[in-house]
Amino acid sequence: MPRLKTLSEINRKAMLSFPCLESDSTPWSPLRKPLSQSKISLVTSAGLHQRGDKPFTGDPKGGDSSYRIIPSTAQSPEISQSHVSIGFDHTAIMRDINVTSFASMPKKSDRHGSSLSRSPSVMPWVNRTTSNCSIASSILPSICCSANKDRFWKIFRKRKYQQHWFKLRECHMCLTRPNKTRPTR
Amino acid sequence: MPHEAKQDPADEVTNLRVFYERWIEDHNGRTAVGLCGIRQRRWRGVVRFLESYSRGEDADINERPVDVPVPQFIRYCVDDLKAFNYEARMTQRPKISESEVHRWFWGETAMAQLIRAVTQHMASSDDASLKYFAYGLAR
Repeated sequence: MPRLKTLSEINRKAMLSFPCLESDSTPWSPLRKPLSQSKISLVTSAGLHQRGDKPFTGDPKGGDSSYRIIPSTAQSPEISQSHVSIGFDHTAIMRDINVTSFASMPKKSDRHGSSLSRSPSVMPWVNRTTSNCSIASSILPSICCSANKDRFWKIFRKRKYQQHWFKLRECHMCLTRPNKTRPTR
Repeated sequence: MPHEAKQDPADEVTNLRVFYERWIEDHNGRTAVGLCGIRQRRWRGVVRFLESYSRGEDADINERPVDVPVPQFIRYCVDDLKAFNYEARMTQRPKISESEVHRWFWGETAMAQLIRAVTQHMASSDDASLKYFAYGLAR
């Protein structure tokens, strides 16, 4: 990852003025049961996908906000990467896919008594996007619904999480300002 | 932009193929190559396609899916060619550092010169989307 001081002035200013999402508080939901009994989904912006999937594209209008799902049974030779960012060095990933994935993690977890490898978990991977609203309206519900649809909506109906929901929907790219209504199915 | 390659990049691909195939064997089939969908043994054709494109010709290649625009497909091809070269080099020199691989690729290979030529052709276009695809291609 490049440091600010190594970037050109234009890039440095662009990074410093990037409209990052800022929330007033931190959404935090503590784990309510042991990890070994949990179904886990991981989300990454590493642009990973299975070889048979359509690679991510570089959309000049604001990145690629689509996502791919990688089942927990996928082996590392089946995983590919199509990431347009020039911000990181791919050689480490070429040498070891576990730098950005956890293709070998289920076996490792088994040694510690976890049942992760037996979990029907899915691992969705999200490629680079600069559009918050696409995350809120498309990616987030899809990912959460694939894990536990009812649980997802139950969480987002709670008052303390609604500000984060609204914040996500306030997209700095298309400048939409949706009505502050409760999220609905 | 005419590039002054020391060697034909297509010959370079052929010469590195044995090391790349050893990389696949050593890593149980895992490789970063595979975005463009063209079999690695057909890559001389990909090199010719990129050369033609860099000369400003109306270049295309039969293997390009109809729903993938030429600039995007070039991006996939270039990513694959870079990964192929890097993996072959890391097989040749297993203890090579990451910065040394970059220095070798961008400083010593004809393939890097070809990628620079393609990038320069894209970046010099008036088409903003082409400039977008050119960004970071030669890096």
